[in-house]
Amino acid sequence: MTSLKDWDVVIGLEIHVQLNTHTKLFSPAPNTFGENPNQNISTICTGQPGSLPLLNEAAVEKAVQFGLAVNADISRQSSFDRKSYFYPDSPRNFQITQFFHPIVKNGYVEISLEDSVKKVEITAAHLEDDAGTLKHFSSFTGVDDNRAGAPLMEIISAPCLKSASEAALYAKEIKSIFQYIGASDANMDQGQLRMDANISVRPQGETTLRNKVEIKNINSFHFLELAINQEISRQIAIYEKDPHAVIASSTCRFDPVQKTLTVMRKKESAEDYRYMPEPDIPPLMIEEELIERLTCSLPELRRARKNRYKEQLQLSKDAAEILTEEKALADYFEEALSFCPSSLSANLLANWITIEFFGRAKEAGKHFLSTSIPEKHIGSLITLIEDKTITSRIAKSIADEMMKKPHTSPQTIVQENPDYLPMSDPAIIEPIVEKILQDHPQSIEGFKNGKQKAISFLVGQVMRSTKG
Amino acid sequence: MTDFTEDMLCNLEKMAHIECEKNEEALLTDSLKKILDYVEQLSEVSTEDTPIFSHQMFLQAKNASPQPLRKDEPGYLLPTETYLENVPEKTAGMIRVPPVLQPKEKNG
Amino acid sequence: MNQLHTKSALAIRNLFVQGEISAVEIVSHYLERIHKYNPDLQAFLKIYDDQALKKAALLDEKRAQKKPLGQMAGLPIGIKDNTHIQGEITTCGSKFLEHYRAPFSATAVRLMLEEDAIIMGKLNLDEFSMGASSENSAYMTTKNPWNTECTPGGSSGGSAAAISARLIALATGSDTGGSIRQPASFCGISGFKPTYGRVSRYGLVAFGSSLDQIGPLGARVKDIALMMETIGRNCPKDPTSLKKSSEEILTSFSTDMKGKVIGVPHKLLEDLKGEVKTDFQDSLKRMESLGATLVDVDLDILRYSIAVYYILATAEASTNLARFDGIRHGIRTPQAASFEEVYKYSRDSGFGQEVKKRILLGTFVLSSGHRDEFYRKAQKIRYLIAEAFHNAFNKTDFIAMPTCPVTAFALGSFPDPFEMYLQDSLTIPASLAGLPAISVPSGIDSKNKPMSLQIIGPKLQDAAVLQAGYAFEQTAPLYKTLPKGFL
Repeated sequence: MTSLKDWDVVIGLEIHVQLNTHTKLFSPAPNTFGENPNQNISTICTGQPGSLPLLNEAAVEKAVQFGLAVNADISRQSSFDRKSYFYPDSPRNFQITQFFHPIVKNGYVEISLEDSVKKVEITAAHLEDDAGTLKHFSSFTGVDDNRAGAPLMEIISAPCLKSASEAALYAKEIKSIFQYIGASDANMDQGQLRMDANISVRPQGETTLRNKVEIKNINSFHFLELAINQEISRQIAIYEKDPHAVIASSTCRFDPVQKTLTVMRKKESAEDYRYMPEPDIPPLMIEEELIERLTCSLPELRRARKNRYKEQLQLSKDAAEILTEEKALADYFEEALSFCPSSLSANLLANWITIEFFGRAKEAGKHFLSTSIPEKHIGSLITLIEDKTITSRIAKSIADEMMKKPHTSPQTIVQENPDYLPMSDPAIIEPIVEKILQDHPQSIEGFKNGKQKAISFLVGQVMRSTKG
Repeated sequence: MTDFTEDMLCNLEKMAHIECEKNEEALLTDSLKKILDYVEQLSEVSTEDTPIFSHQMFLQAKNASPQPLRKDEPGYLLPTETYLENVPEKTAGMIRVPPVLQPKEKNG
Repeated sequence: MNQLHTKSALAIRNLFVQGEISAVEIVSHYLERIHKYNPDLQAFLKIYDDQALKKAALLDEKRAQKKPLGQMAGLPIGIKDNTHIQGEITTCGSKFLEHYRAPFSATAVRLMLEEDAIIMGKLNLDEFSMGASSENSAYMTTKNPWNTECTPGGSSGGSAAAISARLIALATGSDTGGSIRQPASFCGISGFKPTYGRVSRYGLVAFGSSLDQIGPLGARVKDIALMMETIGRNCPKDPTSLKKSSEEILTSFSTDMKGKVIGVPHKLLEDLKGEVKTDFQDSLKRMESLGATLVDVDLDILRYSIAVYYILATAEASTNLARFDGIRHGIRTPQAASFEEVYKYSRDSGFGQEVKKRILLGTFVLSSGHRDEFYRKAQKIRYLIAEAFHNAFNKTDFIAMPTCPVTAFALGSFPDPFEMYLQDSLTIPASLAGLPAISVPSGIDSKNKPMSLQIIGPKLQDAAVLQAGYAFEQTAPLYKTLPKGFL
């Protein structure tokens, strides 16, 4: 029986990301889905004879920005190609992609491993259009072309990932980049980011690559790790049994319900895509001026933002990590911070968001960002805590209220509930304190004798009777 | 050079999704063989250092400049009813096809 | 009035604009001719009697209201049936598209309608423009007005025949390897293939995307120049459209060719024989008499044009026609139990043999293991062909050749279309290089079959080529002679 250390795992990822342009890649139809079938269509994306593809300027710019964000070479001249395959979701029975000369080449990202930083190479990234969607019913399948022609970027990593967790870290980094440059929301529940993994395993020290198995269309990081680990184990088991075994190159789909890999039914010549230059699209020329403009306007990426949070806002490594995982959350945090007394409130704000509110949202079965609590209100809450208008115990109760009534501000909640009002009137407090001192003479003795705990006890008693 | 056979023709039929009648296949095989034998003459021409013809060459003319890229603004849509008018079978706004089978064999 | 069809398109337009004749009268005259001659000629797939008369009435109204009238006002035109008119059927001469209703108009069509042209009908063609005789149409076999046993040529055979018989004043065709020029030559009329990208391909059902161009056919060079002024301009819906607006052509027309240098590829043409050869030599003399100088040019590489074309055009066609799968358009058979069967049955019953053959050939030359040997090789030789023209144009203004090495052949005389392919040798080169090329009738042979001169120019010199064609035409205008039986 061998151990994992005896095996060299070789993983490459191909990630497809839907860009958030207003219109499709080659068609002026709107780039949104979810409406009734066949609404967001044009003559181009439905493959009408006589129609011609018109490349979207914004998609090109987003592709260039991605290339800049991953330190890649931007091809000054790239071109498009026809990739032929017949399937009902394909209006033309060919996809327009960039096979021979992609727009982005030779980039890299860095991922943080346990005690090191690894550079993951990106071989290439290119633009291509998406297919329509199939809806399966018992007696027929329905084809909807709303998504046909949607703009995709495909990012191809070098086969340099060594484990499922590395693959997930890399994929998360890619997702984060797209969010931070504003080129895609990369929402995996909506299929805006899909991953294909290529996995092969060989004994340590072997230099030639063995046949790989491709797992297609994975749409969660959790399933990615599950599927990859499963495939690694499977391949190791086969080679352990017979060191000379040859694993057939195949394509699988991961079933998230059964948690199994299923070999997809392959047609005999399905792999011959007969790539051919797309004659309808002239070569794409990228001018220096465009690259300069996009370089200057490249938004702050996640890594830089995390560092800024750690260095300038004094956030902990973990807090910075959590807050920047989704750009929308980081934006929320900064907006909320602007409603706090100063940037010194950052840590308190970070705790309240990532612990108190995250916890409450989880209990309610939601993601925090979908609770609809405006940034201003969270900022107000922190302000109330910091200027001691309320105690943190009261703040927790207020937080509960805010979850139930997200559009009500903390100030309003405090005003509506007298229990939350701070007591500052000595006329009210003094009699209470008097009573407590009378009720607990031994504590007074204790305090006189230097027992600090006595004060806390007395204070606690006061708080109990004033309900905070 | 080209031993173009009926087997090769059948393979092409599969790739192109055209099923020819049996009697057509012999004729087509012959035809294609003839054409492929004819185009073999291209190997006479030395092209080691020759570039590939590309669309750029159409632009090498006085006063020729390429089309600018399309702006990212919604434009001329195809109404659903007009689209479906040419579709042979449709249901509830979708194009209707025989049921597409899901992948089968388990890999375990 | 009953000689209206012998007049030039410009003259007809002027008669209309000046109030001497009504649009309804024009249309009625031509409809009468169409209904008289088309049943035998079989040029029209569809005749738009009602629409044409309606449009004519509206145009008369427009004129009565003294509104400005378009450049093609009142002109009865025909559209090759691979080019869309919104709301009308486009068959491409194929059973597959028998019921396909175009959801939009081709830009070229729209531009002509905006200039008040009147569309009389859709014209027959080889299925999906694949052929040189129009015999591959799934619907009808068009005849040559000069000799009804002969082909009008192809693939724009219906367009050429209809013009030749004077059933319309102007027609569109499309040219991929000679499909405008060759039928124009066979039918004794003029035809023009513009510079690639000069006329929008939006709305033209694609065959060879890097080769296709819509172009005019007409009895006179001035007529086709009139259409080019309307349709030859940039189109934002065609990504291969050149960024050049429309240009005036007619105003530059003269018969002066002084100072012009015409290149003749003598070696390439050494196999020319018979009356086509003598006619060509005569044409060259006519050009000299206008003041042009003739020089020899080396275009030997062009002898590989046919091989290059049949690899590249079929490769592009195999992908362009992949969309015809029975799912989104075309006929479906109820027996299909899976989508693969939908594809197979639809494509088998919808496509004719020539189309199938070319799709299969195109699939082959792109397939893994063969692409380098065929497709890439052809692309490289295409480069050499374009380069040879470029070099020739360094010392010449135009290049002259016959349009075809033969005259119109008898219908059914090519059971094996391969022999027919070999006759495209002189028209294919200009398509491969994307150059403007005109075919102008030069003579009639002893069998009463027309022959033509082809003049090719550098890219975007469309106006110059048309002008040279005009100058040549005027030395012995053949449009004055109508084919017997269509007077």
